[in-house]
Amino acid sequence: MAILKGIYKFFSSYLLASIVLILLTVVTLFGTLAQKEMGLHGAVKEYFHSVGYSVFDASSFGIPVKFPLPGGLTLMFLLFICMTLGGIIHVKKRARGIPNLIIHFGMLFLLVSGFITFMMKRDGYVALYPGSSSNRAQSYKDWQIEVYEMGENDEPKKATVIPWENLRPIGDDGSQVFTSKEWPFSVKVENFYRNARPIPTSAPISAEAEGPEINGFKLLRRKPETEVAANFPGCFAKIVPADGSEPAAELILSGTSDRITPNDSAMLAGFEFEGKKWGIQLVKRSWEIAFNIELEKFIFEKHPGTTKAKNFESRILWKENLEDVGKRVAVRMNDPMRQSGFVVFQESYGPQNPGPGEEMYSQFAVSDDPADYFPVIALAIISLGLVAHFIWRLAEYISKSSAKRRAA
Amino acid sequence: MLVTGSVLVLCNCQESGPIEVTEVREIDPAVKLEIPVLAKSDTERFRMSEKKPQAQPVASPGAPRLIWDLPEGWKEVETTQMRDANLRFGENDEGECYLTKLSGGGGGLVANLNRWRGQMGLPDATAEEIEELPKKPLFGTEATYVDLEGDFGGMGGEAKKGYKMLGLILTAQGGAVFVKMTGPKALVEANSEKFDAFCKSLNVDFGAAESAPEPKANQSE
Repeated sequence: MAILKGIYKFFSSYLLASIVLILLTVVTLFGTLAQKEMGLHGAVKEYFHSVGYSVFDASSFGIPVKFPLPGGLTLMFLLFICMTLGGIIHVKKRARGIPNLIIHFGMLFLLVSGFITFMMKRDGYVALYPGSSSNRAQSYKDWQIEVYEMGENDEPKKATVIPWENLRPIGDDGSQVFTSKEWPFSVKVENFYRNARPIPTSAPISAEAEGPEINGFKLLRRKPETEVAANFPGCFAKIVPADGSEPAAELILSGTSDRITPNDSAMLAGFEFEGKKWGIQLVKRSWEIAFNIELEKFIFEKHPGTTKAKNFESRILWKENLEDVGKRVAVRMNDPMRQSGFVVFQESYGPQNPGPGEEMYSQFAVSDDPADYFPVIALAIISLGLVAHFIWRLAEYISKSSAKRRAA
Repeated sequence: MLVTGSVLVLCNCQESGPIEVTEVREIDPAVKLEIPVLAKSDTERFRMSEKKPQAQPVASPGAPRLIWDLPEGWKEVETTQMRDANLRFGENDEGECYLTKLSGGGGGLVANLNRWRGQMGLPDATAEEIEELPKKPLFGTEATYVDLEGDFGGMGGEAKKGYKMLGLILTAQGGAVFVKMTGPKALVEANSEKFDAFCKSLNVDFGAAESAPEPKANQSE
């Protein structure tokens, strides 16, 4: 019992809360600095979404020092425990403590909303040339293999998807067999490289590639890029008959077959199995969003004499579905559109270095976060608590001052 | 959390059997660009050029087209509306070189050169300074040679620091040609001779589609 009391006292103490808050500040500082080397996604994953610990390498700033930092997720979990025990359960329940309780509740709500975002938020993008439309968002970093049964005119029918969650664990040296009720075969995926390029065997650099040569190509593994969106994965796929006999087809799959610009189409690798045509591709994970975006006009202004963007905005036609008349909305830098639980930001454009008169496309970041509004609610609760606290203290001060004056 | 972590570690240590996938996606025929197409070859599928020159859009037989020698270690990528030749080099294709041709003057030498200087974060040069720039051969005549260093791009995103740009600008009443190479400074310096060789090899093949069985283009592939 004494041990439990000790644990309770420790986790509800000001000391622990102070240490955790200081460590969170330190992790935020160095995690932000680490973006220089690791990019945004890499730094978030390494420092803010980590459970154990991460090592900060200061050599990129000219200081040959490495030191460990606690995982951001662990720190926030500790803060949640500490505030629940110390700020809600342990505090004396009296009238003048109500504003503090409200503030602590608001902070806990903020932590919970962060956790929901961490677990459930989906980030992607939609890139469009003026005049085109889409209702699908693509992931920046997650990929999937899609297998299509082809029609008589080589048109793909529905896709069966091998999801990222099953591809990622395969790793550089692993393999995994996938089956589906939609296929009369199984697909064996081998050597899933995070960043790789197919290289024709006629190129001298192909000698550096491991793995088999398939149709005059080898797959060259590359060092993963700092910016995860710059990585194009690659792997080998074998189409294996149900009886496990020799593969009917062996293929190199590469992310370079995916759409490069919004006007491209993804390229399928074809194979035949039992007299039927099939197609397979490695593409960015995509998902349907709750509406259709049609880009009517893209406006781009730059600072005079430079190519640096001064302002860029998109005039879009937002539609519930393709038959809908639609609603015209302008999406600008720092002025997103919020609709049906999604937030659409004006993110970037392309090509980044257009030739004179070259048509440009607009890229929107699409965020699907069930806790999108929770931080606003949390801040409202905290603000309410602070206002109540100040009013209470002011009333106490006025009351005491009046009493003193009367006594005098 | 520790228990969850332990379970995950244990799961990863085990060899898993076949995984049945169940996610099915219907194709929306109304959104044509999102429908994949069956590649005719792996070369097309991996978006690499065939040995025949692909820099020119499909033209009528006998129409003149650009030809060149592809420097070793460089590769062609798909051309765009404004890039009649589109090449990449470097371990991660971080270097690029492309040719743009325009009818008319394309804005003239001074405007275009200062546009390039702006892309590198450099102030405009005067017409006098531009006149003094060196010349290099291009299509049998002399073009203005540009050698710039700075932070490249900066269009919306962060400028790429430590970049170098080499270029040739040829303007005439009938049209303008721009050859431009950009990339990290060390990479561009290592490829500057190849840039010169590429520019020298550029030529126009008149009616090659009808008569010449083996075009000169991309001999080094």
